[in-house]
Amino acid sequence: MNEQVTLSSICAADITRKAGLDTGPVPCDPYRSPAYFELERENLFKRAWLCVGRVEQLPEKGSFVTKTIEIWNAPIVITRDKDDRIHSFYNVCAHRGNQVVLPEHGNASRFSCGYHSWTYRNDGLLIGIPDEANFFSVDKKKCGLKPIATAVWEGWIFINHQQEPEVSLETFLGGFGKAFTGMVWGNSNKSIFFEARLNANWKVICDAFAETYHIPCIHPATIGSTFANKINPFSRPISAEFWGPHRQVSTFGNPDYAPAEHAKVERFAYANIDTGNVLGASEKGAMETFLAHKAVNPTRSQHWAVDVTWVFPNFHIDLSPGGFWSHRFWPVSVNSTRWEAEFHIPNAIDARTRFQQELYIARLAEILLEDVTNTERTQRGINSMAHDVMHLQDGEVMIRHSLHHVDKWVKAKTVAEALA
Amino acid sequence: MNAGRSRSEEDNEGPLLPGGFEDLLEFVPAWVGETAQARWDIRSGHSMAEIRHFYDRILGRADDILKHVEQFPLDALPPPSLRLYQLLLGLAQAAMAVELHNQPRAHNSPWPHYVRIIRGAQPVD
Repeated sequence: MNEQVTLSSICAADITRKAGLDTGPVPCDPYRSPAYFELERENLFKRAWLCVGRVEQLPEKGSFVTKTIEIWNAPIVITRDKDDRIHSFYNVCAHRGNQVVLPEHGNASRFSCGYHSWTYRNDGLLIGIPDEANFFSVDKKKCGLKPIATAVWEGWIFINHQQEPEVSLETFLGGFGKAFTGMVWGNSNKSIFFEARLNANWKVICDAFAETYHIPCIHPATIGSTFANKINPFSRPISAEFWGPHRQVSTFGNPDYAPAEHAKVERFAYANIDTGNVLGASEKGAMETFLAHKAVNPTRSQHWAVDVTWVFPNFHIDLSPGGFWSHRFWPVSVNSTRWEAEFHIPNAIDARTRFQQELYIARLAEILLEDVTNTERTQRGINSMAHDVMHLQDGEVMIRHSLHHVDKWVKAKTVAEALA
Repeated sequence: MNAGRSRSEEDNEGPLLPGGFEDLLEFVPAWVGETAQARWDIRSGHSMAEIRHFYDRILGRADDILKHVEQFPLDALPPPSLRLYQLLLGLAQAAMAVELHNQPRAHNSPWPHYVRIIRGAQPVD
């Protein structure tokens, strides 16, 4: 068999040019320049809609979560009020600036600042000032928790730093939002949650999860044989889609993958369970509605493994035969980032399934460790100024697309111009 | 008199593992991790010889452990059975070293590192 012919029948070619992108080297400066980082802060992260989680993390009326958006230098609180509306606020007291809500999550209809007990409703309204008579006509209506523009799409909560965002979330998500409407986000009420603070630019870490060219090198033991084989030894992607600044690559899975003979624990764990591949945790049979969605494995390839979907600028959703997971990459400084990843799996119904999930978590932890610790080495190399540019191949098209759109936002005077 | 004693003190007086699993006592408490992160740390801190020994012994009893644990609801395991099950969960970690890496930890990865499993699966942390 001519392997080259077989490869070309599986994997799309010339993705980069078809996406209208240049094919030359890309600059290193956006990954290391403090000045560029400040432009990203002001023109990108303070103008784009940013995903902060899912509505299931606020399961009941009164549920709240607190977070820090480092790139805004802002502590925030997200709430669900008595009418089931989702709000986000600066978690800052109007009195003298103290943080009002201290727990990471909980349920409360009102919040009392720990400093002088100014009290707010969970819809932001200031309802109580102790010894109000001793103030000088404070207008309580103007002293609520300062709201942050918040919108929900398909259960995903997005926030925007602009008090009145230049474009709606719907416009921002554009064709991506339309393509993913009606997706079944199974098991999204619970997740396995990973976090790390890494000494690398946020884009270095986004990029690490945006191509599969690295898989045979970085992950030879953990997933090398899952995502490459003799026909596709360098794990070329199957296809790619682009919607404005958003993008997706469908990655290749080795259809002949089976646990090695010596992998006795893997065989024991998966004895009665088929999750599609080792990155999934839900049983394949339970995923039919999800898998039937047009945006999942969009080319209906028999070699499909994962759709890596990169919602601009810092949010990945990955779709696989065993369910979905997500990454959020939060810039802290030009070369430090807080990374969070959530994997959604069903509650185990029996001890063997729970054990299989533990093996799944253990393998994920190894893969993620291999990925993210490599990013710190990459950043040190970039910071050395040894090279001015990077060379990207066709399968790394999402990185090129990301850099193109980040740069567009950084330079655009308006969001409309950035999205044009 | 038991009055005034905490639950954990009472647990400490009971068997560490259920009857019939005395052969695994050598792994208690060193290999009993109460969370996925703890089990990851435990495996990462052992030598390959220690990991292989644990792997061989627990794998040899894996079916028996499942059979024992399946007598109870997963979210209400008596303490000795929970410890036994946590040993089995530790086998998932040992398998990473034995079946994938052929060394205690992932290749080219630092130890210690900053990656944290903030929340694992349920039931049983």
